[in-house]
Amino acid sequence: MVEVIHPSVQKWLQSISGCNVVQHQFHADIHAQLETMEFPHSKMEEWKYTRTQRLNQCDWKLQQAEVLSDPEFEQMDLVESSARNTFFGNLNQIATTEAFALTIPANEVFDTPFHIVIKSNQENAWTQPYLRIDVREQAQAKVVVHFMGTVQGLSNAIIDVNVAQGGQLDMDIIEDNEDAFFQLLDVKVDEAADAKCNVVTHVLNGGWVRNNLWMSLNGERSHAGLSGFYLPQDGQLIDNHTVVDHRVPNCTSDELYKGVLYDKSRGVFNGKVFVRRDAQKTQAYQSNKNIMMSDLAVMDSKPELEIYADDVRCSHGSTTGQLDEEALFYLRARGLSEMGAKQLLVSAYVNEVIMRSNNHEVVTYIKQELSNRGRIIADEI
Amino acid sequence: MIEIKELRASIGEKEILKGLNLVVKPGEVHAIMGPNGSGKSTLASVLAGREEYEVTGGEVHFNGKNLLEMAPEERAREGLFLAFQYPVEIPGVSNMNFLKAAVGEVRKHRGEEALSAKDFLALVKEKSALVELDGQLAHRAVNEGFSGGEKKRNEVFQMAMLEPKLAILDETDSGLDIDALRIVAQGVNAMRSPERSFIVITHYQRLLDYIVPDVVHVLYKGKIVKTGTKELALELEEKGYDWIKETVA
Repeated sequence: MVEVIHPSVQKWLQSISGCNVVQHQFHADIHAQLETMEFPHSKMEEWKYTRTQRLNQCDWKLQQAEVLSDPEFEQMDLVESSARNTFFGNLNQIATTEAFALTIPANEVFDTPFHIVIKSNQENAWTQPYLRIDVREQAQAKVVVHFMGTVQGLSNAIIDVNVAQGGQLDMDIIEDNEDAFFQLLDVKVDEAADAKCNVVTHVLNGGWVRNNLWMSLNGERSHAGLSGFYLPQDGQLIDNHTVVDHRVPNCTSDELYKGVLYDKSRGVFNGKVFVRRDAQKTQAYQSNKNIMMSDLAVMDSKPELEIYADDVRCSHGSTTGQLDEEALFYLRARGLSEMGAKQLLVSAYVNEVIMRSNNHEVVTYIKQELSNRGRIIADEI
Repeated sequence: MIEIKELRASIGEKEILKGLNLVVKPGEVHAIMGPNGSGKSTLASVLAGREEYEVTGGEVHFNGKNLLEMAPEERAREGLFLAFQYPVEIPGVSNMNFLKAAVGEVRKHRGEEALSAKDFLALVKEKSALVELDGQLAHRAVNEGFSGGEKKRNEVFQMAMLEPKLAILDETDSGLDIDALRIVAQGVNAMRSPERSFIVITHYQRLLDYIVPDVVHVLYKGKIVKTGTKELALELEEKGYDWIKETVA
């Protein structure tokens, strides 16, 4: 029987044929799987709140991104990641435009962060970067992955992270894209026993953003930190999907995503926490908080907790509200303009997320950038 | 300094101020006393520009300008300061950043140059000493985790930083023990000057032992019903508010 490839997928497959891409170990399998899929649409649970049509309305040209990185990031000729089983994940895997790997050798501890900047600056360019970060036993490192899209474009990126036993990784993801840019990012983190991984996603700007972050706690006493902020304005859409998978006992996870939504913007948060049957003594915290600055903005927040173990401490919550009127009046009664008072309150609100980064350079940079753009007031003293 | 004529204000359907008259001249300290529910805090809120209150009649002139037309921040920049009865806790906003922004706005409005970081810190040090406020508190989030006394001292500290023309103290003595009361009063007294006026709203005479007023008013059912010297406060303390209620009736 001949499988019929869905026309919505066919279009994308055609546009990659003949392009120069990085080889993938499982190319044939992943390609075959992709041929059975459909382009994401709002009837799919994972895409219920985020419209994808606009992605289909542009004539993308697959090409390489401009990558600037510390020399420790090595270019790869062959990618060996296992199938993502998602449309965009698989699409990246069958046509990766560039692949880089960073390996932190066992027992090595680095205080200085490693940086990689992945930049799209060609009109209608479609890039599919792949990044692999390996933190070996007892090693410690800080990594900053900085995405920039300066024109109309599409970035469909994948990051694979592996933190071995006792390893520690602090990863800051910065997304700073033009309003006409589409950003897809799929991050998968695997942690062994006693590992710690803290991921902070700073969405500085973006017209259309979909982030997937999946963290698996595979070894006992490992810890996952997930944080992020988003400040969409005008007609921007920012979607964060996260999964924390507690597979073994005695692990902890701590998640905080905060948003401030302006104008006609949209935000989506979907956070799943799985606690498997064997994962006793799990401690999992998840929180999503949103402030609506406009009656026209829309936030869809969906925290989900699935617990199959009986001896666990888990909490999750989602709040959506306005800025505290009392605080606003207090600040204005001291001479701050309404705008200034709002900015100060938003700054405090967002700072809580920014400060969850363990990278001082990033904290300073993000505050400064948001302040330069008039989004927050950076603390000067 | 401030001239209030026939001021009427409501919250929801309820009229609270019912034709209040008050004139405070530069350098004067006026105490406003009165039983619970007489409209003391409403007066403070209306003067500071709290939007929940609707002004339904009357006029307020502040240094010749129409106060009621101004946004709360304009009133503050013009030199009006309200020490809140219940100072708001604002997690994440440091006292320092907040004050720097506030002092900056007020100075800009007065046509003064912005303070350098060094001068600002020197001013913080000087003014926080006035109310014996621990230097550490100045660096913490606004009022977060402050004790009742610390919050009120922080109000007076902010007042000292902003150097208003007219300060309204809304039951600043409530919730204070005798030591905190003394410190707060000491801060206020240090700021008294021929150019600066105070409206001290209080339920009890006790505060007026420390901040000695030039004029004492009694507010009852939304109107000033009696005005006198500081001895009036003592008389009230002795006879209670029932005496006033009977006199007015």
